Amino acid sequence: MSSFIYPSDSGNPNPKPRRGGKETDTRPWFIASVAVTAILAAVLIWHIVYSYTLLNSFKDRELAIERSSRKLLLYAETMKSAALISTASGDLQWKKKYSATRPKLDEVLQKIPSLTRSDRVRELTGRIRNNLEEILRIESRAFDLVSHGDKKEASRLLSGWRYTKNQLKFSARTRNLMDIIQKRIRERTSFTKTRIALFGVSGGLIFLIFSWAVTIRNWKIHVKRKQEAEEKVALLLDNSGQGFLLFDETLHVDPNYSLECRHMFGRDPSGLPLTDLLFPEGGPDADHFAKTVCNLLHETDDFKQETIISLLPDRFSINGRHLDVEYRPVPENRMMLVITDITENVRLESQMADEHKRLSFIVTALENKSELLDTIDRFEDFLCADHDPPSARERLRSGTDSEIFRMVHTFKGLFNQFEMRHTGECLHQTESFLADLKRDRKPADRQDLFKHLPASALLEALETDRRILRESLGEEFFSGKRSLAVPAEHYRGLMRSVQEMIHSPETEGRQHEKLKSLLEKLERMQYVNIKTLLGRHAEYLKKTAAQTGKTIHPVKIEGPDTEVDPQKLGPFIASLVHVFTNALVHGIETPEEREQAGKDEKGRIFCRTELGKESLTIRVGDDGRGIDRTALAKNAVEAGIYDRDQVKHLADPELLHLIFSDAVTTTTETDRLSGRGIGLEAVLFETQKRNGRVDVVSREGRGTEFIFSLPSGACAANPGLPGLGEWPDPDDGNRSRLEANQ
Amino acid sequence: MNSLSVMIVDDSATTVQKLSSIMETLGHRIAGTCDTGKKAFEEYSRLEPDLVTMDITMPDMDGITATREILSAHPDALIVMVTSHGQRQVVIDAVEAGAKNYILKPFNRTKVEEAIEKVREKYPSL
Repeated sequence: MSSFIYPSDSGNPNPKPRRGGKETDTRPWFIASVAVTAILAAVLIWHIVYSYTLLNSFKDRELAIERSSRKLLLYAETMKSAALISTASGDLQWKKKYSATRPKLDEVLQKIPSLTRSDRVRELTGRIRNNLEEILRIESRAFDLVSHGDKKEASRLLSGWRYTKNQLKFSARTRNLMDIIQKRIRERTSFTKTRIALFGVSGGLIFLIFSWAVTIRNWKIHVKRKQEAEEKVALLLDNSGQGFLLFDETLHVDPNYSLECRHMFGRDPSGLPLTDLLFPEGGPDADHFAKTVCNLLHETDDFKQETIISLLPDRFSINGRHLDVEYRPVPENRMMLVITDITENVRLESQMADEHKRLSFIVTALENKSELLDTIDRFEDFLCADHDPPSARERLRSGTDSEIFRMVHTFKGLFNQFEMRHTGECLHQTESFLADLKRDRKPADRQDLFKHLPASALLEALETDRRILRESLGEEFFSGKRSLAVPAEHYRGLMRSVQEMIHSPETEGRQHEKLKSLLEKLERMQYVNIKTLLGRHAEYLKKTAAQTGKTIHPVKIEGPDTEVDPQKLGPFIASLVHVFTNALVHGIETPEEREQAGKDEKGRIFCRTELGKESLTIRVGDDGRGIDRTALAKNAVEAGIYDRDQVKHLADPELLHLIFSDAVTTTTETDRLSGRGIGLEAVLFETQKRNGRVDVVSREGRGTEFIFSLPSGACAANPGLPGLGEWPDPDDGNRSRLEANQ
Repeated sequence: MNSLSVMIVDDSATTVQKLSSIMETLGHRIAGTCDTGKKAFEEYSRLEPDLVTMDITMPDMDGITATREILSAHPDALIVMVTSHGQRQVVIDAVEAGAKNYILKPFNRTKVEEAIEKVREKYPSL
């Protein structure tokens, strides 16, 4: 396996950083190599000089011996001649010359042994000395004989065998000595030269070996550094949380890839065809991909290459993971893939989308409570026709295929309107199933469509949706139905009757008072404590907090017990769910972030109501991160609401107000923009519909507060205000909507 | 910035209308429109527009074939494909055949502008 993987990837993911690269410093090695080279060179030179000096002194000594030998020969010859002439002529004058030479000879003879330590030379010198002594003795005798006038005997002595033998031996040995000296000089010179040469060669060799060692060492350090650098890059890539891999025109993955690729693909991708990794199922898409990428690698036109890359699939689902893929052409006809695992993002997105759908469903349910509950009743009746009296069942059974089909279709439409997606989806499948059935069946079976209805599945789906409502709004949402939905018309009628009676000129005095009291009671019957309405959001946040990974203190609804008209205020209060959810999802930071910011780990979301003389104020806020104004401005520019200059000159309240625009906040960047996502436009709409206003106060890092002010026309606690006693015209909502749109 | 003469090839009247109005707001001139690939080839030779937007699926001759035909006769033609997400592979074929860029449906003014600007960057003579 070779990869970008650091060798210690399994054991030590955090290797200690090196200290200054000291161990890889080459300077001491360089200095050492220079020093050793210098010492070697010095030793070599010294040795050569020393050897030559030694050689020269040796030569001087040996040549002195040679010279002495020559002198010996000369002196001996001189003395021999003097002795011979003297014996031949009988002239003793020659003895003087002889005697004058004798000390020189002795001196030379003494000197020779001191000039050498060679045993052989000394031995030879000793023999020469013996020969000379013999010669000198004979010559001395000859001179004695001459002085006695016995020339003849002297001459006989000097020409005798003994004299001649010693003379010959002396001469031969002296010449031999000279030869030996010459030979010694030659040998010594040759030896010294050889030794110097050997020394030089071995010095050179040592130097060479040392240089190699240093070079190899430096090369190793270089390689090690390069490896370390590569390992560091690999470490960075392996821990970047992204997958990096290379492939060439054969589409086989290069053995060098980042560790994350193995996790992403669930196997070692080295050498595998890219299409096998990205398209485990194969198919025509894989073939197209392979063909396109191959062409792409040979494409020389950058613009074309870039255009085609932008068309390549950039998201893959592999082994249950969602991968985001970027394509980067690299030299040598290769391409690099940068892969990001976005599984968690996709999951969160889908969770957010589900949550959005759920909230939207709840708001719709609150807004259309009675219609929704009626529809559910009718749907249950339709499905449970089996349990109904035979007449009802027969009525349904006798319905034609088209009627059954149409009813399914109608219910599908209705439930989709109410955003009950489980039921809607199940009805959609039922519809498709029935359509297929209808198309394939024989005419004889025409009346049997009803029995093919998957009633239990549909009831299950309905129950799932109902459970969502029950969890968010409580059981009373269903139980409250009878007193609101069905009797409401009667109730309205009664209210109108009482109002008419109050204003009737026939009504007088005490009766008038009684009627007013009755009207008040009637009004109170429909009113709900605002805390109860807002409390649902608090309950909801408690449940949602865990899903978002945030922790919050329980949300308390503070303020006076104000009774409000749910018919008027209900949709508005329901829409506040977006404000609460946004505070939780986008406002409150994660516990880690809060801890880092020095805040209480648990976030605080608060809600306060205040009832003034003319208005009801609801404050919803959090102590979270606040709104990121820069991101908001950027999004507003991107959404085309303002241009760059305009946005710069916006006052802060105006800028913050942009948060209510879906166009701004539903761009892809929304979720990163400290938040305020989806649905705030709906809140603004509901507020404006009631002639209310909303202010946003936000401080970065400190939190955001939404302050809603509504005319207190919907509050029973302040019955003197306009609008309290008047039942809203059914068209009011539409008109307000139009106004708001205008 | 120069105004371009643009020819729109699309069999959907709605798309033609939407594209035309966007092109006009961007300051370009509609040289002509046509609703089939075959006509596109004939019209191109007649109108010689600066730029063509080409739908992919059309009766009688699809956008890719029309693109190929126009490019074989006019190699310098600048053709931008108009397409939906599901047709990526077809667009790749078109780009490989010589189309210069593409606009993904649903499009808006920004998308169209970006697509044209990219072609302009590559072909400054436009």
